Amino acid sequence: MDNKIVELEKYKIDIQNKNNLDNKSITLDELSIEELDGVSKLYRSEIKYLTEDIKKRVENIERLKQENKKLKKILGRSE
Amino acid sequence: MYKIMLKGLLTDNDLEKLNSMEGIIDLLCDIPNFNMDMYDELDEDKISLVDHTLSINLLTDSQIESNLRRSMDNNNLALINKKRLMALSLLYFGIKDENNKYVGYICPYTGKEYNLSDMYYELRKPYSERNKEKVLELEHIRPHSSGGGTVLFNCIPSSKEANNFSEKSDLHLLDWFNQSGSKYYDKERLYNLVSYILSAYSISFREYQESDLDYYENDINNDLEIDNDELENVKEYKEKVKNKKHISIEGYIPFLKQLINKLETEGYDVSLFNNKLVELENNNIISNINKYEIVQDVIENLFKEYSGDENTSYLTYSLNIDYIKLVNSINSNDRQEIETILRTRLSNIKYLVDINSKTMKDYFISLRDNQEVDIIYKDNHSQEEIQSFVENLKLSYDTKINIFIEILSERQYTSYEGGKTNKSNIFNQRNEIPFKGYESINGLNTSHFWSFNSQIYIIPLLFYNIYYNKKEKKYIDSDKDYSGPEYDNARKNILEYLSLRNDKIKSIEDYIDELDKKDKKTKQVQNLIDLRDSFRDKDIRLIRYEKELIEENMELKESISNTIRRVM
Repeated sequence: MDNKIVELEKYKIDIQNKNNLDNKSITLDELSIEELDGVSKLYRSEIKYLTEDIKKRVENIERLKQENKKLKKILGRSE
Repeated sequence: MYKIMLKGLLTDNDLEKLNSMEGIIDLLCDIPNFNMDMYDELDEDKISLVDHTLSINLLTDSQIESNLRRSMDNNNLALINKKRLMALSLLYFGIKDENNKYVGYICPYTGKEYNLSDMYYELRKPYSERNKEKVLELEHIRPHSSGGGTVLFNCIPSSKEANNFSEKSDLHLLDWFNQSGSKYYDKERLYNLVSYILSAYSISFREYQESDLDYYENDINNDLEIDNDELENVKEYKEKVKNKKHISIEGYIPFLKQLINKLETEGYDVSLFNNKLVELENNNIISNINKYEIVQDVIENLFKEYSGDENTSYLTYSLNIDYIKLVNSINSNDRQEIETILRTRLSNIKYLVDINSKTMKDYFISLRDNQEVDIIYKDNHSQEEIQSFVENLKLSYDTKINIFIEILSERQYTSYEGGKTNKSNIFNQRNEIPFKGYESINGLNTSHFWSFNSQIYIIPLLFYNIYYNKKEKKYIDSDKDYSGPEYDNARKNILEYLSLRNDKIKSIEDYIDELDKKDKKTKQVQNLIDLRDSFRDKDIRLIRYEKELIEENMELKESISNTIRRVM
């Protein structure tokens, strides 16, 4: 249980550090190696999330393009 | 690179021509005795030449105006006529084409070439939109910060690299040439610059006449289009200039002499320049040239000796000597006596500097701001004057490093409470501890000093007797010996601080390994941040595109249902 609390505390600090880096209130030089490791994990997971998001969006765009193409065809025929 | 033609001093006849626009056209276009009545009778080529010359603009009115204001505010000389400045600059540094037209300009300092038609178009744009590579700036030959005024003999259009606030900054011209590895130095350009300055002297002194001040006021009214408030300033300025008439301009001579001496070492016959100075002295425009020359020579040699370096920094230091004050403080014209007086004064300064753990460099960098309290200008001083002199000395970077190292060796500044730095701990960048000996000066504190200097100066100096030389971009050996118990204490205190921050650190080598690891890790995280940012941008672009497609999709569906409804 204690370990879990320590881990959660560490996670909270990592998130705080990442937010501070993103809004430029601190620079990378100000973080220790351990802290850099912590934010590195968070950036990796954000990149992973963004990659999946982009992948889904590209698929949806492709689907919409096809559908719009078909709809245009239908509209063209009916007019 | 374009090579300019050597040009000596202007003749009296040519100087006279610079007093009117018609005379300026005569000089720049080679049309003898030009006057505007002749204009319609000129052939087409000549008319085009005159029109072209009249359209040349090297600087905008506001560039000149802002410099005049800056000089006025600082009580430096401020009086310049834009047309004369342009004409004189073109005569010495202009480039002509085969049709005798001025098409370019060479920066006197850097040799950079400027195209006048590009410049014409750039100067018509608002300042923020101008291509700064294609326009010139007004350079003060003797730096503004050292008392150089905005006056014809001290100003010349030059490239931004040569202007203050840039590469050259406040350096002496010859020191800058030397420090920039002579990439800008060219003896022909220097020759023309000296000719320019001396010709400008002859023109400038006319500007101190009352009638010329009126001419100048009209000139401002007509050309600079200033409003009423500014006219008030012009009146105030006229008053100032009237007072300035009595101010001696000998302060400019030492700098000019340095340039002339440099040309002499290059093998040029500089007698015409020296004769011009004698002529100025005979006309009572300057006085005591001989004494100025001796004082300058003596002080330069002493500065060179006391600065202890082989380069030309002493020239930049000497720019900040108030030569008028110095010459007036010596009651002798004899070289031997002058040397004895100045050597005694400087050795007193050296003694005071030494016993207060400062360096001569601290003294040299204080010259500009400490003229009021500087004891170089007096033989005898009261105890208060000496105290004021010492207290007002600035700290050079080297001295700050050494004082910081001294503080590092003391427990008082390296203690902890509950495993954390206490309020007087020098390592904590939030603590503002005054540099030792400067407790009375506000703002002179050590906050951030450790974090900015530990890796490149303090640790290399204390542990390896080397330091990082920014100019040479490498670590070099230090002259100072950092062995001894006080330095051992400083080393011990540094290691204690580092190991408290990270328990893996037991030696300075561990710390350096840690720095390397951290360096790699920092680069890694930076790459991740860059990658994340590019993905975010991509995602935003895709969201926009997706939204457009959804809208299009809805419109299409709407149209189809409308069509179906119509058919039904």
